[in-house]
Amino acid sequence: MGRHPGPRRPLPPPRPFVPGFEASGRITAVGDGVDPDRIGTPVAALTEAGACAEVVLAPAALTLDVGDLPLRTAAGLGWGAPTAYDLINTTTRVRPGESVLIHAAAGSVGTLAAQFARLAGAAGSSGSRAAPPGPTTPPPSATTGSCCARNSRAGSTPNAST
Amino acid sequence: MILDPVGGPTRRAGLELLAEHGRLAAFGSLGPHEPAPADPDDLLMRGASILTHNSNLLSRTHPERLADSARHALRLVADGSVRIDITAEYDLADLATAVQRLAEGATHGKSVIRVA
Repeated sequence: MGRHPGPRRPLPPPRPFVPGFEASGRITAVGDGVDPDRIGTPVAALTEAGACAEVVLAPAALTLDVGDLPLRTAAGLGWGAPTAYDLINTTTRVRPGESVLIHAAAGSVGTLAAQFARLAGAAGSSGSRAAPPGPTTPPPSATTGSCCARNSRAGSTPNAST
Repeated sequence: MILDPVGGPTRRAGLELLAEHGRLAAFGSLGPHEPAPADPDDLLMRGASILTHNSNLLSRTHPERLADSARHALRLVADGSVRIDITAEYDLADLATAVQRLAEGATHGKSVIRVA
């Protein structure tokens, strides 16, 4: 945990670029070291960019089997769902009876965080949407291993991913 | 508990609002670019804490931890405990419109682009 150098805000990506940080679909190809049996599996994927496209490249570790979940719903999982989950259960560890104030509550993180807070036993949550919904952080960079998924539906939060 | 992706004056106000043993989780800086200084001694008197969450960084340092959280969330979606609000759907050709609406902050929950 050292100092984190660099700009506080993400730099605009070089043009042209394909937006989109999350997608769902079926795996059409896998990279070295990834189980080829995953080909054909319905998945939701978190990407560094380029998710609003017919074919999306994503790190294998962040390409999650979604089972019977409709791909349309899986497309909505994205970065927002693990972020909301972690905010409530890992970062703040909401305890039963506590109150939660959620800014940008209408965004993908906010709408899910309110539900995770309820599951954690929060006494109540209030939301604000004075700010534009959706969080900001730069897109993630690729990790080892990769999957190539044919994108049946891509979540469009190209301005957001935390 | 305050979940704050906004920063600036919103974060400053949040730090003042925190209850005893309250936590403020900063996870973005959408708002005006202003510092939100906090005095640890002041927080200590109230037993309050500032926390941060950076899933983008987590995806690079500990992708498996991020994936685990996503799988937890996925299970809760699959069993109906939580619902993902998909409130807008666009064709790929309308991507620019979708991005514009997100930028305006007028959307609710998730917007989906239908590619195939």
